[in-house]
Formats: sequence, C-alpha cells, structure tokens
Amino acid sequence: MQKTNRHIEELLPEYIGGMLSKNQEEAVKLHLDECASCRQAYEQELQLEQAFSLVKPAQPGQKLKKDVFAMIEEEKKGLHSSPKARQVFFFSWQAMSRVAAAVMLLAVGYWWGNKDDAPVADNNQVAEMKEEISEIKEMLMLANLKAQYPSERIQAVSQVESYNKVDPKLIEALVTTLNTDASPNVRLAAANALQKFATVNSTVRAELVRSLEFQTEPIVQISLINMMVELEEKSAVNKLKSLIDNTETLPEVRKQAQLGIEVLI
Amino acid sequence: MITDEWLMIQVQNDDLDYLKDLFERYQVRLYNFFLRMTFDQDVSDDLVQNVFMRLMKYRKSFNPEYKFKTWVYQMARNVHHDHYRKNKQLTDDFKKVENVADLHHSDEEDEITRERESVLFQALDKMPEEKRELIVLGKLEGMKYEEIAEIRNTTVGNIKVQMHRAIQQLREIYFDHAEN
Repeated sequence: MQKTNRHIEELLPEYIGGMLSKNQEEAVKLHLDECASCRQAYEQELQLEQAFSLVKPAQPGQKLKKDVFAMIEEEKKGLHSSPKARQVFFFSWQAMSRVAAAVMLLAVGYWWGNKDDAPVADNNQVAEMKEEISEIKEMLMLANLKAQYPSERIQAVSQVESYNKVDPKLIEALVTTLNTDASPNVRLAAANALQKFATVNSTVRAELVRSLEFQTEPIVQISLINMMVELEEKSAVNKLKSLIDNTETLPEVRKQAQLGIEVLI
Repeated sequence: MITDEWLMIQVQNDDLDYLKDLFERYQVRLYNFFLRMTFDQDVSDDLVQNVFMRLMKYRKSFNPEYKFKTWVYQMARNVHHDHYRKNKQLTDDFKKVENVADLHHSDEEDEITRERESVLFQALDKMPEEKRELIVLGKLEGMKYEEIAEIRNTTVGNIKVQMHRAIQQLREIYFDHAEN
C-alpha cells in the first residue's frame, strides 16, 4: 500500500489544479477516502493553495518606470548619433583585448622584421605599447564607474576587481563609489571588490573601516561589519561602537556590530 | 491583439518606443518574480531594470520563432542568478521578508490574511533557490507547466516531479512554522 500512497501524493498538485483525467481523478478520490496520511497531505496542500491564491501582486513604484523609460530614451539618442560615437560608447573589453592583441602582433612583427638592426630598442617599444594599452584600459574603467545605470556601474566594479594590478587611481575611484554611489547594490559591489585588495593593502582596510561612517543601507553596513571580522581589523572596534550608539542604526545592524566587537576584542 | 513578439520585432528593428509597451506588460510580473525571490524592493527594482537593459542590448538576438515570454523569463532567471551568486553570503544576514508581507496590506485589512502571507513568505524564504523559483513561477506567477518547462529547457514530466518535491518541502516548512 505504501507504494500507492506515494504515487497518489505525487498526483496531488495536479489533482488540486484540475489537470488529471477523469479516471485518474476518480482513483485519487477513492484513495483519499481510505488513506489518512494522503488525506492529511491533500488537506495541507489545499491550505497552501489557498494561501497562494490570497497573495496579491505588489506594485512597483513610479521610479522604476521613470528609470527604464529614461534608459530607452538614452539608447534612442545613441541611435541617431554618428556611428563613430556609438562605437566608443559600446567599447567592450573583448574589443579592447583584441585591439591589444593586434597591437602586440604588429609590434612583434615589427621587431621580427627589424631583428637584425636593433631588437633592444624594439623591446622597449613593445613595453611602451603595453604600458599605453593598460593606461587606456584604466581610463575606460574609470569612465565606466561613472556610467548612468547601476548595472553598468556594477559591471565596471567587477572589471576593476578582476584587474591584476593594485592601481591607486582605481582604488580611489572604488572608494568614492563605495561612499557616494546612489545605488546600494553598486556600493555593495564596490565593498566586495575592495575586500580583495584589503588583504594585501592596509590603506584599503582603513578606507573600509572609514566607510562605515557613510553607509546607511543595512545590507551594506552588515557586509562591511562582516569584512572587518574576516580581515580581523581591530581598528574597526571604535567605529562599530559608534554604530551601536547611533539611534538611527537598525536593530539587525546593531546586533551584527555587537557580534563583530565580541570577535575582534 | 498585438502580440509580444510583434512588439519585440519592432524593437529589434530599432523602434525602441515599443519596448515601453513591453515594459508596461511585464513590469508587475517581473517585479513580483524578483520580489518573491529576493524579498527586497530596491533590489527588485534594479533587477527589473537590468532585464530591460539586457532586452535592449541583445535585441538583435531575439528569434521571432520563439515566444517572447519564455525569452524574457529566461533572462530574468539569469539576472536573478547573477545577483544571487554575488550576494549569497549577505542574503543570509539580513532579510526584509516581514516588510514585504506588510507592503501591500493596509492596516484595515484582515490581520489573519497578512499573518498568513507572512508565514508563507517566510517558508518560501527557507527554500533552496531552484525550488523556490519553481513555486514562484508556478503558483505566484501562474505559469503552466509547459511554459516553465520551456523556460527551464526541460520536459513537462520533469517539471511535474520537481514541482511535487518543491511543494512537499514547502508544506513541511510551512506547517512546521504555522504550528509554532
């Protein structure tokens, strides 16, 4: 009988949804009359179904529509501008690295062609070109951090994060993003990116501690607190104390700060 | 009746104003999908915007043979999944489930209804991401098994089995919670 029970239970969602054939439906009904455990499962699913049906869809705010429409208008402008301008706007990293590869090839080819003359000088040229390319890359990243839409800025943050150099200019830009960006999601992404650099760089750690002063969004506050604990940053204790003393601080954040202090002391 | 696919073909041909019509048709659905997945209004706003940014960006890759609805929900899944992966360690720390349940019930409204909704959301919140998504799509977004199977690129049979398991798990959590 056990086997049949399980079988019936599997059919319950469809039975409730009225998706079964007449015969199947009859069989389920018969079984439910006989089997108490299946009947309980059925009654519970029925209650769940009722709970689902009472959920009303929430309405998004007007801001969402405004933002999306503004984004569409922005894209329309791009359509009417010269193709050249658009190209710059949509400069992708793949394109960037292709350009880099092409330049390298040219450089190597150039060096190969002139090998007998002065390879040393050309090596320098290659190095110079490499330097130039990484400068262009950094410039683009800095520009992207100021992009119009949060999701674009988040993308820019992760580009910086995956960059293999600790570049003071980029770090500074990330700190600015962390402390001033309008979107909590972007600030959060910046915090996560900075955490990577914080393990090797004490200035970044200090900036993360300082950032607690600027954050009002609970999720950003909590993730910063967790970072302090992970980085074992004892200098954060005072900041955590003032966070607890601040009447504006939410109970959840306060609790997390308290836990943080206990671990750090 | 103008179809979603017709609107999207216009967008594909750079007539971007039609994307506004698609937004009007889908904003509430997508917003609620994200809201039940993240329990965070601001994040849900951002993620809906993200979906429309991708629709615009990848408009040329829309295949008119394909249902727009399936395409847009696949995109929404990816957008949510990216977000979830990036914020996984944080989502455990801080939850706004309670607020979300309180959002759209005025004070005069039936206390029991509100309480029940809150219990349901808290139970959903304890579900693993995949199963929760299945329930949100099937039970709250009102999708048919065939549509979910298309979105998830699997068979209707698979969806039936998965749905049964998901509901079973939700039932255990929900009634355990309701008793306490």
